[in-house]
Amino acid sequence: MTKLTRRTTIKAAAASAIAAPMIIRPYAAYAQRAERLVYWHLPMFTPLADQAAQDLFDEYLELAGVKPEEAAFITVNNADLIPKLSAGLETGSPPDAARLYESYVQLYRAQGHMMDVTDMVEDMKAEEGGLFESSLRAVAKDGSYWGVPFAINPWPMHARNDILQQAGLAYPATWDEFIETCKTIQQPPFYGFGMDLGLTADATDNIMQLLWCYGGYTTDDDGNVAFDNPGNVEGFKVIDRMYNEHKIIPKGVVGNADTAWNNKAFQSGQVAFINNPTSVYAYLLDKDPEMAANTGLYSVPAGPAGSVNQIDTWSTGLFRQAPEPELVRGWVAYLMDPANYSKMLLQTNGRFVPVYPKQFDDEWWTSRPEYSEFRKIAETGVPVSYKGAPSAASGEVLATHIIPAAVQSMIIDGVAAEDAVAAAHVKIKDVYERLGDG
Amino acid sequence: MIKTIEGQDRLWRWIGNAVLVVLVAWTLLPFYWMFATSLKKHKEIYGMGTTLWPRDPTLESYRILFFETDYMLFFANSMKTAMSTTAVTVVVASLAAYAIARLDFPGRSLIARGMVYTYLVPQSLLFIPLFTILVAVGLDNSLTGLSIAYMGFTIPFCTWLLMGYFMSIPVELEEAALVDGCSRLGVLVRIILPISLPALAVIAFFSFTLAWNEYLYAVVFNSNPSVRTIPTGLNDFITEDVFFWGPIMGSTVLTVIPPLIVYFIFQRWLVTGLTMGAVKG
Repeated sequence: MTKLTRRTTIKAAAASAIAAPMIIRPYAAYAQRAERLVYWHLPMFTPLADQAAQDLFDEYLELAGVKPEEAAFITVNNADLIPKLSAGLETGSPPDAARLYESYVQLYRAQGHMMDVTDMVEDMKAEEGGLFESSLRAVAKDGSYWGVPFAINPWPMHARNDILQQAGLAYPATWDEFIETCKTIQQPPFYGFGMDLGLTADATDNIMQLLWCYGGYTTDDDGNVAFDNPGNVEGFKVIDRMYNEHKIIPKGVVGNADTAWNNKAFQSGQVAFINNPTSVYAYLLDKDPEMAANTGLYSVPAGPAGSVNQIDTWSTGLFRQAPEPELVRGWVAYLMDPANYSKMLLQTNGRFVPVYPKQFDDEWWTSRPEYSEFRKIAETGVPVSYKGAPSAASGEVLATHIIPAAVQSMIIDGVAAEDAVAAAHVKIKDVYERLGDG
Repeated sequence: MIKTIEGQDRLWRWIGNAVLVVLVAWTLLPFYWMFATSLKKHKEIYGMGTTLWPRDPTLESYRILFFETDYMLFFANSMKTAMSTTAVTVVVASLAAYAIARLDFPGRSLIARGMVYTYLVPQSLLFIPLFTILVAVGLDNSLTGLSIAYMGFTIPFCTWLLMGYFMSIPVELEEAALVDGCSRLGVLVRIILPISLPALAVIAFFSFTLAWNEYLYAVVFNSNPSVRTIPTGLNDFITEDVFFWGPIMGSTVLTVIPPLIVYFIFQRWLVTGLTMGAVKG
């Protein structure tokens, strides 16, 4: 056997240096993506809905003359979407289209990744009954559309109807009544309101829904930060009373960093009300039909400014890096064709509200009184960034928990509502100034 | 007096045992909780109150895992990735560590230091550059690419670990073998590696568990379901903000089994201390 000497080592190193590019070069030829169409699908809560989306994809491939091996329908779970997408965009290999939540369309538009799909959205608007205006806020910018509205995600109040009935009470019409109802029915450790006040995404949503009812908002009509307003101050005071005076919110919620705690609290029967997307209800329908039958979905109680409900939206983003833009545009148009779309969306069992108002005429919706308020919520609902449209800045305000932190400073540290709101205003303004257009 | 000392010893032993019991419970309880939860029905998991043992045990979570998900495919992918990473790491790290520890060549100390420095770079900083390379050479969406990326961490660290171990082996053993006509490679294979089994066991275990458990690279580099690994599959049981705890715990229970087996296989070598008495006077 040859001895390993300095000379042989150097020879081997030199040989490797020469051979390496020859080995890598053939691989480089494969770097050109094999698929003509790549779509990232996010799970839609029911396997039937996921299968329906996959079936539509397969149908489209056949219509477009694309072989199955030339396309990829990839299911990416919610938690993995953004890290995967960030890496894909950074390396120039994003999917051709993916379902994006709320502000991400604007974030990626500002970074130059989104395709202008104005013509596609105009075609959808031209369908009978058009589109819900609320579904367009997240995708519109300067008269153009940068994403295709996919579905509306309402945030109704989930209420335990059985508990209300036992107490001889109806669903409260105002926040004042809501507080009294909670005080009547709660028996700690069973609490009235599972309001999220931790440093979580849901907390901002829960807080803002209440503030809007008292006339509050984050930005004014022109998109300027205007968080320091009387409505927000009044709303903060109501939350303070709910937490410290009436004690209808469990004390432990402020230390919670788990955005799903309120889901679990409702699912396990520990609270009477939560304000959440209908993921909870979809879960109950599947795993706990008895509890689902005892659950009502309502608009939030009204304040002096009325009952202002939150919606957020999902949109399909088409990426400019797509090698065959017409192919991906064709796919998304096929998916959003009202007949195809309805077939898929109804399989979600009410989890998502259609972007086409006309589809509420479907017997599926009209025969289910539990969803009776959804159309109104979809028509009048506002995004968490209200009065402004969702943007990268509103996304960062949500992600950095500025608003829940301000509420915590009031309910735990005793900071005056006015000061807590003013402090949050400064921080939010800083974020909007920093992120600008995005 | 003697009785008092004995009494004190006994007391300390009892305290020591009590502390050990607490530590064992601290370690095992999460595993117990995982297992017990995997046998509960959804309604019990989300029910008012907490049960230590399932009221009505069910294998439903495992049925979902085996018949409604690609768990077995993910399991096989994890196994392939972990085994290949481990095998290549052990071979390459052994050769590299021996060369650095025993051969005299230019840049040796620089390479040795470089090994440590590469390991010090946080994994999360490298996933974009590594992904860029994998995409460029067409190795994204493949188990080969994933294994190669893991080797970027396991080989430097394991080489560095083995270097120290090889250096502690008396050079006289090798000189004796060389005098008897053994080649360098023969010395490594016949002398050094057999008496380094404890260290090899450690690096094999380290490589296997790193490749088995790793999440970030697996989720970013591989999108195609046919090449996904177990850690990325766990997230499939979280839909939006709803957690399906039964299948999550069931898959976690099954997932800890292979590393445990690997540990028990290598444990023998870890404790035997083969170098003891290898060189006499």
